[in-house]
Amino acid sequence: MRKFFVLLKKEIKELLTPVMVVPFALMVGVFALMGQFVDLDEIVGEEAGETFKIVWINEDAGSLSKRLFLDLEKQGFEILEIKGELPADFFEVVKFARENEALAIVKVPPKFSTNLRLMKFPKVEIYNLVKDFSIISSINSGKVDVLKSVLGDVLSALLISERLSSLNPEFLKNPINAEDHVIIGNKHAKISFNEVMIFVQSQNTVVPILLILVIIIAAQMVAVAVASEKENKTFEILLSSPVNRKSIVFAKILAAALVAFLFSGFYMVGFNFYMSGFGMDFSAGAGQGALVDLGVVIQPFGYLLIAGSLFLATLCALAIAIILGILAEDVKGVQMVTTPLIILIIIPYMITLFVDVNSLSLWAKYLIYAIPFSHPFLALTDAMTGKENLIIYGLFYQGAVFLLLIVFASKIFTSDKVLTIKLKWGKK
Amino acid sequence: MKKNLLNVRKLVKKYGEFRAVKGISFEVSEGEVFALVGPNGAGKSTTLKTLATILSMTSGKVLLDGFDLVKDEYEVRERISYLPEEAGAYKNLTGIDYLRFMADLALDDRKLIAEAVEFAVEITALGKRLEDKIKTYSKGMTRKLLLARTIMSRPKLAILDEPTSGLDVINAFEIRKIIRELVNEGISVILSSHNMLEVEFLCDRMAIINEGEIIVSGTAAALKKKYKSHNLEEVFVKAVKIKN
Repeated sequence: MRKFFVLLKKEIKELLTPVMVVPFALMVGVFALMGQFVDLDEIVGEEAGETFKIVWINEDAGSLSKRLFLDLEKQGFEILEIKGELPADFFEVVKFARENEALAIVKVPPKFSTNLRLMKFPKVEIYNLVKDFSIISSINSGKVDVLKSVLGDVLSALLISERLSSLNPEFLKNPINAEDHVIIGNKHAKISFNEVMIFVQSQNTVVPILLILVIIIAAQMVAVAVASEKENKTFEILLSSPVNRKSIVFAKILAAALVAFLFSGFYMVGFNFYMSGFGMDFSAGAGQGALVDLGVVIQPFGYLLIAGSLFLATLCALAIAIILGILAEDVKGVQMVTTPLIILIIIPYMITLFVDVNSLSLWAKYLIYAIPFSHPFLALTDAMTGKENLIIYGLFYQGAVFLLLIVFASKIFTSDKVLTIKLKWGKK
Repeated sequence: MKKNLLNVRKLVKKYGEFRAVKGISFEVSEGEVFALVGPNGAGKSTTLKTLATILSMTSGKVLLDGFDLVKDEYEVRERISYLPEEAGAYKNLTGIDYLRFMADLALDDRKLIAEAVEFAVEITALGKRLEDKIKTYSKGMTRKLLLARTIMSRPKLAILDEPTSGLDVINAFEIRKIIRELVNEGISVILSSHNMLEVEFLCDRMAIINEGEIIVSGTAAALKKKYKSHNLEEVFVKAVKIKN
């Protein structure tokens, strides 16, 4: 056992070199900085109470367009009206709008009010001023969509009040008080499905990235650790030392797992800084009663199961990676030999990201469950939907796969295949 | 008469269908320096790797200090120390950390570990440079460090594959001096080399190996006499030609 810890200490020392640590530490700083630059609240200005600027061109002489203008102002829109003759070149208007940081130009055509009263679906032209294709631009574009719905809303209210002055337009537009309820399994809560989805997706965005990172970083590290032993010609000395070969395998696996968890922690801290710039605080809302009632807020036991699933998936990846590391001629070759493993890790991630595994055909479902790396991704949803039993079965399965893999890896290490596999590959 | 430390009988090593070593036999006595000499691909390194327990033999029997190479692998490893050809060390460790790490693996007793490190520090003669990372070392410095690592635990048998390969004259000379002094420490040596002068200077006996077979073995003087040659190079060329 003493020699195992000697090996473990050396493996960790080899992995925690400045070349490895500094980029990760820098990443935290870079993400934090990016989070500061991309402070969405400030840019979008919603919470800061900033108004939504639009340029208004009214060619209608009727009353409805005038009332629409006033109502939009009441709704908080800052309207820059172009009065009098329109410039011959429409891009003069665009230039004016951009100079004033307006998000859209709204053009109300002649006879708008008349056509509206005649229910002829009059056209309103809305020009969306696109700066670029960043996330912020897409959010601004969403605000233009809000403008469209506000236009429709305001006009409906105006027409209703004209025609049915005795009735409350708000009531006519929305005569029922719909109360959203969501039922998941046998749990029920008074909340909209949309709110549940936003919360679940926030969890489903960050946690799988963490899972992928831990597994891939760990797998790469252990494969590199073995390949660099071969490349630096230190392997033969190690193998001829009076040390149990299984200790060498376990020390490499454990060191890579510990360092990968550490690096993933760094990454997630940085990522959290970055995402908080977008106003996405993933811990927020965890205490919301309705979400707790629905069981979508993962409880400590659920997290424990997910952690167990992640741990076993990482061990499986490490056991495969250590075998692949033996096949690599040198450190450069690691990338090539570990590619199939990385694909095997990414496939379940992609599948669980887009579809519900239960909706797949039976063979596809079994195939997904057969991949030990699928289980942490599935565990996440299972923990949210109260299917802890499935996670526990998964843990047993992953444990069995790991045992098989580690026996195989140890067998290679205790035989001369650890050296001759490369020889055979090189010769043929 | 000195006791046999290593007894190799009809050692065969196959890689698939290829027979790299074809049933060779030899012995190494206690306190003896024995050389395996042969052209590239003759089977020298394969033999040494097999003796170092990192390759498994296909057939044959090898006893080291009474322990069977196959059945008593761990006991054999406790009694040998292997220096591969062009071996490297962990570049991100300092020289002294490397020696401590390897001593920790080779030995169990704290006192012996400390003594082994002290012995290795003395052999390397690297002084303060041992506090530097190995990646800053020259080839000669690394080789000295590795040789010190090989013998610091005072193994019964040091297995040295091309110990001076690629070194300049001064470094090669120093390494040979260290190897020659090993006998005084009670360490037996089996080494491989292409350098006939080195073999003549270092070794008590040698075996010429070609295409996986030992052609002839004996002391340098006996072989020179047998092949009517003035030096070992001539002996080597004649022996290989006659065999072919």
